[in-house]
Amino acid sequence: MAVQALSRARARVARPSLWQRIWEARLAYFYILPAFFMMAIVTFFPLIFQVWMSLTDYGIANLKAGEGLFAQIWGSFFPAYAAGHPQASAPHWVGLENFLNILGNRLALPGYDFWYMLSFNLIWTLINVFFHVILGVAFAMLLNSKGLLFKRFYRAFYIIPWALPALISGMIWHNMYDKDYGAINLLSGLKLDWLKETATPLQQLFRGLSRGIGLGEEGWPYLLLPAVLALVLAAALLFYRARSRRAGALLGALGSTAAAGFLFLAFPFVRGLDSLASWLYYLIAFGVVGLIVALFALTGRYQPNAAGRAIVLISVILLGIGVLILIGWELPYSFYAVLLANIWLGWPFMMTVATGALQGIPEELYEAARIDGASDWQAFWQITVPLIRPAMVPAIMIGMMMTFNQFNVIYFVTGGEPLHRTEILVTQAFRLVNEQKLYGVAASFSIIVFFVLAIITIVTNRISRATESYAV
Amino acid sequence: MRRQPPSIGLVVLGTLVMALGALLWYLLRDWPYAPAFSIISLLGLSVALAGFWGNRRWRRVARQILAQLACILILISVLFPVLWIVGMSMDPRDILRPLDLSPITNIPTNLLHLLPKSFALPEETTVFHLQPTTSEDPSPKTLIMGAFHALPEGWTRADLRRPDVWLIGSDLIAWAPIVPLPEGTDTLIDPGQVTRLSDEVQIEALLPLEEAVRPDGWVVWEGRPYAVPRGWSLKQVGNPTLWLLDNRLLSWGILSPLPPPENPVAPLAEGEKPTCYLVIKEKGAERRYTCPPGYRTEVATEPAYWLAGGTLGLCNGGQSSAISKDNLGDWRHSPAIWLVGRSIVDWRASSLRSFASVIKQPTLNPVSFPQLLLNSTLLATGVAFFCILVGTTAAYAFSRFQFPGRQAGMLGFVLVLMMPSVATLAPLYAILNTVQVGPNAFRAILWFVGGFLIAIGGILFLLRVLEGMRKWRRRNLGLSLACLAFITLWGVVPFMVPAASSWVAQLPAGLFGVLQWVLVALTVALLIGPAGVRGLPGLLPGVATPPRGQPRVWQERLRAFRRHFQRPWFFLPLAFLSLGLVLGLNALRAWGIGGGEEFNLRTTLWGVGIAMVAGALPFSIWNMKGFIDTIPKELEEAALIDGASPTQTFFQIMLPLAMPGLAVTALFGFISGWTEFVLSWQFLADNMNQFTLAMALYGMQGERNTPWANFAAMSILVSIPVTLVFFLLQKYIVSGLTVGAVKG
Repeated sequence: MAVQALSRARARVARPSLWQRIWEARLAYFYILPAFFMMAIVTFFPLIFQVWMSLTDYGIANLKAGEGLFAQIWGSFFPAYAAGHPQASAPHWVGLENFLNILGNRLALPGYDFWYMLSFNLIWTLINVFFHVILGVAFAMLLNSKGLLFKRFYRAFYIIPWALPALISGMIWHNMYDKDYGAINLLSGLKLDWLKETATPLQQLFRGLSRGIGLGEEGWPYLLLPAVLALVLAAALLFYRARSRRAGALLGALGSTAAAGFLFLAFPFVRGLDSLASWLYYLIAFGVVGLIVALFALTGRYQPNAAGRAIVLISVILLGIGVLILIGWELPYSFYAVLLANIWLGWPFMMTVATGALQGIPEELYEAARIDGASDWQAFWQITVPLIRPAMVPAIMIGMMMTFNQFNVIYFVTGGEPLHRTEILVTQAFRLVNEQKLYGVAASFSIIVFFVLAIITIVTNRISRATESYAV
Repeated sequence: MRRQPPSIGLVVLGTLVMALGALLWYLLRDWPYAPAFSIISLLGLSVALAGFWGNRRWRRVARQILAQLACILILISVLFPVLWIVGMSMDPRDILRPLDLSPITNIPTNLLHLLPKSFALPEETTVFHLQPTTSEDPSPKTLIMGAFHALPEGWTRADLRRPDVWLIGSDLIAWAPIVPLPEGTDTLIDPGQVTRLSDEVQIEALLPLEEAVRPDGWVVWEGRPYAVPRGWSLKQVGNPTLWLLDNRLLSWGILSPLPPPENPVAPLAEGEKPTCYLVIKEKGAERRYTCPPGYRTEVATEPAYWLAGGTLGLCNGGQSSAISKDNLGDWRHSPAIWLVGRSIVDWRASSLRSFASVIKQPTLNPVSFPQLLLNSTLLATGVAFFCILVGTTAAYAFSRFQFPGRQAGMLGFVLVLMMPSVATLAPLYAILNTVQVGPNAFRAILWFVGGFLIAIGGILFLLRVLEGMRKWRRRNLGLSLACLAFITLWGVVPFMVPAASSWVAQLPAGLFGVLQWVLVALTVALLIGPAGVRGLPGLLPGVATPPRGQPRVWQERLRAFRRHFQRPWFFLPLAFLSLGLVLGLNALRAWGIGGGEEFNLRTTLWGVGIAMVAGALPFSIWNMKGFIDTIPKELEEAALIDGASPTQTFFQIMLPLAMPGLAVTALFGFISGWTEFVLSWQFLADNMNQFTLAMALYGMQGERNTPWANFAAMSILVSIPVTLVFFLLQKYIVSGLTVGAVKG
């Protein structure tokens, strides 16, 4: 210990002073200077300005700034100054009101609901990235198979969705979902208004089934009964007989989710969509926290005791209910439409990354595995997956960020239709500025988006680091 | 040969393919070429047979067939939207779209611009006027256009089924769900409010009505419908017609000619085959009508819209078969390639007319296609070039140097990278909007910045020269001092602008011109002039040095000076500096003259460019840093050991090696600039001449009356450049992925 402290002290003594180091690196600062100068004006100043804006009621009236930004800022702090300089048109200081209005759903915008939007955005991201990765890896493996003819031709053309500007693809897909003359309806023979239909497919299916059986339009929850009973039974069995407690707990959670979800849906007093909608976000928010804890528990970083396990269990149940309701009862046809469009758009990126990684795997590994008697399935999980993981994890993180902020697809394909059910955070932020002209509120909204993104980045970073430890 | 056991996978997959072929044949059985799908079934059959009986070689062929089928399936699904849009762009039948009937008025909202101005609202429609509340007003609020407004007394927003029209300050703003008022409540517009007209405007366009008369009407302004307030009539005063409500110009009549409304449109008789007819949708059902008498459809090249019984229908000149929605079922009878395109009945009928018409007039706005192209190109190349210019050195510094503040800088980059460009929209809009100066002042700023950048380039060169002149160490001091003085000048000039600019502005224009051209001519002469001229300034230090010792020594020294100054590269930095000086002088003069028309930075491409650089610069630096990280450090170390200066190393070793990286970064910048929509749509909305291609394309989709073929042609034209460049540089982009480059 003492030796270490001594060496540390010596290192501190030997280290040149800050000024010395700055002077030695003067060339570096000189190189950075132009970019720094530019970014300070164009990037960082607006970000700081945004923080101020978010605390005021900046609106259209303040845009006619006669005396410049600083008079506005000064006037917002000191009403006396603002009264003396009406030309400055300083906005009023409202403190955290904008944030509270946004988070408390007190913005009187049509169909505005922050927590629904946030959960929709998260689910949209997860489902999309899931499909991107699955399809990308599968098609990369298909293209990487030995002896396939025209490989280079296919590889070149599969990039088209990625090479087309997302703006254009969004508009083309919007066009293809047209009710009367769009490609999808023409080819499938459907007469469905993909982008405007408010009922969800599951709702229509269940209502139709239940009407057909004779239970009436509202009798559909009872259709779930057999499946739920089977799930609960299986879960209970597994819970007592499972070899590992962890698997048992998860399966128990699954069964209880099904049961609780059924109870929620079956009883009319909680079934009305309005009451469900307000419950939903608490369920999902609570559940997401639990899920994160569960992920840490699964990766072995957190060893929960009985109480911790119970909490995780409950949150996973709540999350399950929330997601089930969200998917079944809130996501209309336009969600599936825009999902298809974004899957089409996103998989070539994953395919390209996976192809690069697959080409780096030596063929001998597979031969050795075959000699050892491994099946193709085993070879995939034991060789391919661990070896492409280092390339895929950063790509997945980039893909998640890109999908979370996928403005072009959402805005141009559905435009948030129907009733703003497919709105994500960035499109709402754009609407706040472009349509509502609520600059102050938009600034607060952007800051909230920033924090959401930061949390997602930190969590995905942690998870990816946790998964990286599972290396070859 | 030993028989292999049957391969279950091949048999199952082969059977599936067989079934797929049969299914396709069945689904498309009306298509004359449908039996071609039997080929797929046959392939599936052969795969299954090979899986059952075949030897190893046959199975390999079977696997190849399966893989090829899968690849072709993927290829079709990848190309599907592309083929669709290509097919649509060449569709000879112009538009075939249902009318967007407004829920209240039953008026097709996508054709509002074609409506006669005196078009009557249905009896039951009511137009309500909402007033902004005062802050102490406790009545229920709703938010419209950024301000809170009270709902009229006795109104709620509960019922979604019965939308009505809200009017705020005589602007129709929303189809909003309001429950109707109880009888007898009057919230109509006070005519006194609407008469506040400014002096320059002719007010005879809009006249107050007599009591009892109520011909309400519609106008379209900037693509949005406006109701004429009750109590006002329209008086057509010829073309263009100006309407003024509440000091706002509502419409200048660019309406297409319509057949006179008194022309009756008669239903078709059974079995009658008109040359052209009209489809009218009424609550889902369709009725066809003959052309109004006296209307020449043969000469109409664009689809014509007619009014019949209070509803609009559409008709395409002469091509009666193209109008009927029933005929759309004919899509099956099309060549295979157009199956995925939009049902071109006969590919020989396909035309490139939509491309021509898009290039002739891209949108209803008066902005031309070359203008759009120029704007997009300027924005995209400008952003890409600027990011490279400013970002390269910073990326190099972050990649290669260790310095205090590096970690903090990287953290800042990550934070900024995380923000989507939408997230800084509000502050950038507000900030750029405050820069409203005269054009001369703006020019001054541009010249000043340009001069500053050029001067920095000159100083960089100067440093190189100084490093090359180790022998002339004593002279270095003087040159360094000159350099320092120049930088100081640039630093001080902004603060003395008012004084200096007025002084420079007072110079007669001729004298000023002569002054700057003399400066330029001197620079050119020193750069590329004959050796004698180039050597002239060498006399100065020679003369300035007092002669000591023997005259021969002095002459010797003079000759050495002249030799040195005759080197051609010696004056390059000086040329840069003096060019910067010329630009700076121009800037001062423009600033001093000032004036001109008011100019808003926000509504120009410059503003959008600045806003885009805010997002693109951190990304480019990050991206280029990734590239530079992959270049082995040993190359530079070797150069440093060989005696090159850090600047030399940067220019001669690093830049050539990093060229692919720079190219890809520039490409990303170009793509993001070319397809930029969020910022430009928000910033440039008021300035039509600065519209970009992407904006025009979105505008076409917004204007529901634009033919789809034109929209398709436009989207092809917009995407061709970026897609081509993407394909050409595909190799670099894919290799760039390994260092974290993503699509911009």
